[in-house]
Formats: sequence, structure tokens, C-alpha cells
Amino acid sequence: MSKAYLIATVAAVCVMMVAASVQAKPVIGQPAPQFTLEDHNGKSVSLADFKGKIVVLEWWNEGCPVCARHARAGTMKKLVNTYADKGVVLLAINSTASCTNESNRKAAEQFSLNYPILNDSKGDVGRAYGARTTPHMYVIDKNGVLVYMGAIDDDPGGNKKEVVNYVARALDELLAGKPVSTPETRPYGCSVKYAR
Amino acid sequence: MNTTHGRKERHNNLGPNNMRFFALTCGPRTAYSTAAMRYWVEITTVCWIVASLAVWAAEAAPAGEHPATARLLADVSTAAPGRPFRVGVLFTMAPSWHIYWKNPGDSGMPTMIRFAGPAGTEFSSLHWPAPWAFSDGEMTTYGYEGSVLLWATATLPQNTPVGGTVEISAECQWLVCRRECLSGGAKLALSLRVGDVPVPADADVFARWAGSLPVAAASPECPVELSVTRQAAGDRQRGASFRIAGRWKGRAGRDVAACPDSGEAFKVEGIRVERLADGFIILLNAEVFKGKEQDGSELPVVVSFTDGAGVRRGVNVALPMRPGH
Repeated sequence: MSKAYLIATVAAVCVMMVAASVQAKPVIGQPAPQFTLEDHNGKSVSLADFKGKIVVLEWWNEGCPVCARHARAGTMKKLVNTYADKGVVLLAINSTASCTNESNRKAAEQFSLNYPILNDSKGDVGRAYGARTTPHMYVIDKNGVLVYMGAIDDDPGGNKKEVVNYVARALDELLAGKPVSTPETRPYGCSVKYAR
Repeated sequence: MNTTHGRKERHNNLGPNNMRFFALTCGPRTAYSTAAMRYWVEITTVCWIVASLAVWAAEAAPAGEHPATARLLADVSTAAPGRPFRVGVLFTMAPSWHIYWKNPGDSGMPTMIRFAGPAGTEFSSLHWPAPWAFSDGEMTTYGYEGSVLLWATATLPQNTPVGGTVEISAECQWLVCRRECLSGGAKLALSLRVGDVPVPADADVFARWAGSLPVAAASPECPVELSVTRQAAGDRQRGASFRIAGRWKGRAGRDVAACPDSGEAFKVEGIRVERLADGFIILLNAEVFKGKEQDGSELPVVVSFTDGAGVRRGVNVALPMRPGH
């Protein structure tokens, strides 16, 4: 009886640990999860490659109309154009189960993106970051610490006259040596189409 | 290219012939195909050109492939100046597709409607029937499958000339998803006569959806007794855990969901619903985002369920975020 109870307890703890690891989410102020993925040209890209730089991650899926809207509006391209020479790197990550380097290359071409799309079709990196939507944005400071996660801006419908770009604001604050005033917001967009 | 839609509109009885509308929906059918993406840009461009050129059409063109259609309705065919009436958009989705509640949940986008009328017309905020929760095990979203009416109360200015007509319009935007998502939009309009006495229309549609509007927990028609317990905040600085216990007053409901109206201020996680013989227990953790503390004293939650008669219903609950609040 007590043996069965012990086995049940151990099993329950194991289930809880697995559940905890699946749900592990990055925490603001803690080191961002490390990753190595291939970009749309097949080149290996690691977060560690950008030590000393600020890294912006955008969860991306070209089939999501919200991503496509921002791509057409040049929301992310403008970030690259504004902040690239200030030591900021933007990486798109595609955790769509069906994505390939080839499909990412085509999408990068189609939308004339000036940043790479990394292939996370297994979804491991997306799950490590708790990425839920496309787009879902993360900002990692020069020391590899996560300082922002959430929406790109406060305009889910793309129809506001005055838009607050949360990522740009976080970058401005970081570059001015200030803490990020809004470290977390609710992301919006399509759900990430993870492999099951 | 034919891109304007409203698949079912040809068969719709919109009431009096003086009601006109025009609908526009855009988007790719297949969200994953790169070939489709190329068309997407073209289709979208064409859509916007059509949108900018189109005058109010008497009837929407057939629906094509977009999985959601929108139809503008009023609960009067003749409105009286200064007398409130209801105006709503009835969304109809293809099987297995859904649009989103005001809080879409872990992903998605709120459905948006902007009503407009003659200068001085007042519109209330949008009324949202009790939503469904959709969960894939990893993410939970809130919205509507099948169909839903989202409506507002409109009031024409007192000085609106009697005997003429007025035009009410609704600009709609939505994201419609099953596994993939498509964005859609519609510019709808209808004409109403203006008279001294209102003449009702489409009363059944409005009555049906008014029956799904969440009610106050204290109201007599609330079919469930609720009690809220605020539990230890744990290590969360701006958070709290809540337990909502519900007991059915009469016939038990099913498909109970806790739908937090989180707005921009709250992060809500770990929602669990346990079914009991005579009710349910809901557990959830809520946290106010840093910088949003002033907006976050109470978290509104709609506890939604399907009642014994098969009607989706809801109860409004406010969760106190501060101890002793």
C-alpha cells in the first residue's frame, strides 16, 4: 500500500516537473534563454553571437495577417533602420511547425526584410520564451538579460493615429541608460502554430 | 476580381427595403502557402481599391472564401429622435472558425466595430454576449463560433427631421481563426426612416443575443450563486490568486469558463475550472502589469457557461486586486 503510494507520489512529482518545464517562462530581469538556430540562408545564428549588443526578437509567421500587416507597414524594418547603428540587432524567429529555411527565405524576399528569419520549426525556442503570438516581441539587453516582452505596440487593429511602439520605447530607455518603464505588455496576433 | 462578400446576404431578410449595406472581406484562404501569400498582397490591394471606390452597394456580392461574414442590423426600421434603439453587427462564421471576444486571450485580436451616424448621434460602448473559451492545451482564447451579434445602443439627436431617412454605418475589423488566421473587414451601412414613433424590426435576433449578455452576480436572473475568495499573493508583487466557487440555483450548466476582461492592465494565468456535482470551482492567478497599477484595482471576469436550455450565458464578477479592497 505504502509502496503504491510512494510510486504514485513519485509519478505525480515527475508529471509536475514535466509540466513545469513545459511551462517554464522567461522572467523579466533574468537571463534570456540561449538558442542556436539556422537563418533563412542556412547560417547558424546563436544568441551568444550578439554579446554586448541589444537583441530584439520578433516571433514571425508570414501566413499571419498581423505579421504581414506590420511587414507591409515596415514596422520592424524601421526599428532596424533606426537602431542598427546603435548596437541593436533584430532577429525574427519562426516557430511555425511547417516552416523551412526555404519558406523563410521566400518570405524574407517577398517582404524585403532587412533582418534574418530563424527556423524554429520544432518550437523549442518559442516554448522556452513562452511565445504565444505572431508577433510576440522580446528585448534582451547587452548583458543577455530579458528586459521587455509583449506586444510590438498598443495598436492591435492598426488603425490608431498615435501609436506607442513599446519596443522602440524600451530601446530608447535602454540606450539612455534608464530602466525599461513598461517591461511587459499583452501580446496580440495569431497564435504560434507549434508542432504537436 | 470579385472580392466583396456576404455569402448569405442574398437570402437575408433585412426587413424593409430601405436598408442597404455593403460588405468587404479580404484575406487568404490558406495561411501557410507562400503562393497564397503572393496573392494575398494582390488581393488585399484590390480589396482596398475596391473599398475606396465603392459606394454603398444595395447588396453585398457573394462571399467567396472568407470564413466570416458581417451584417448590420437595427432593432427598428423607423427610429424616433432622442429614443434609444439597438444597432448591431451579426457575424456568421464557417464551421470551426471563430472570431474574438474583447479579450482574445493568449492570442488573437479583439473584434472591432466603429458605428457612425448623423452628426450628434450617440452610441454606447459595445455589448458582448458571453464568450466561449477555446483551448488547445497550450493556449486559451475567448470568442465566438457559429454566429454572434455585437451591438450598441444608438440615439439620434432630438433635432433629427422626422419623415426623412438617416444612414447608420459600421466599420468592422476582425481576425478569424481555426488553426490558421485570416483578417477581415467590412464597411456596412443601413438606412432607417425617422418618425415620431419607432417601428420595431429584427426583434428576435436582438432578443436572442440579449439573453446571452452577462448579468450581475446579484441579479435575480443569475442562475448561479458565486463566492469569491482572494488567496495569498505568493511571491507576486502586484498579484493575487483567486478562487471563485459557483453553485447552480437550478439546472446545472456546462462548459464553464472563466473569461478575464484583462484589458491592457492584467496578466491572468493558470485558469483552472473544476466541475462539482452542484457547481464548479475556478482558480486563477492575476497580476497587474508594472506601470498599469492605477488601472488595475479590480479585474472584471465573465464566468460563462451553457445553461440547461443550451443558451450561452455569463455572470460578471469583479476580483479585488488589493488586499482588503
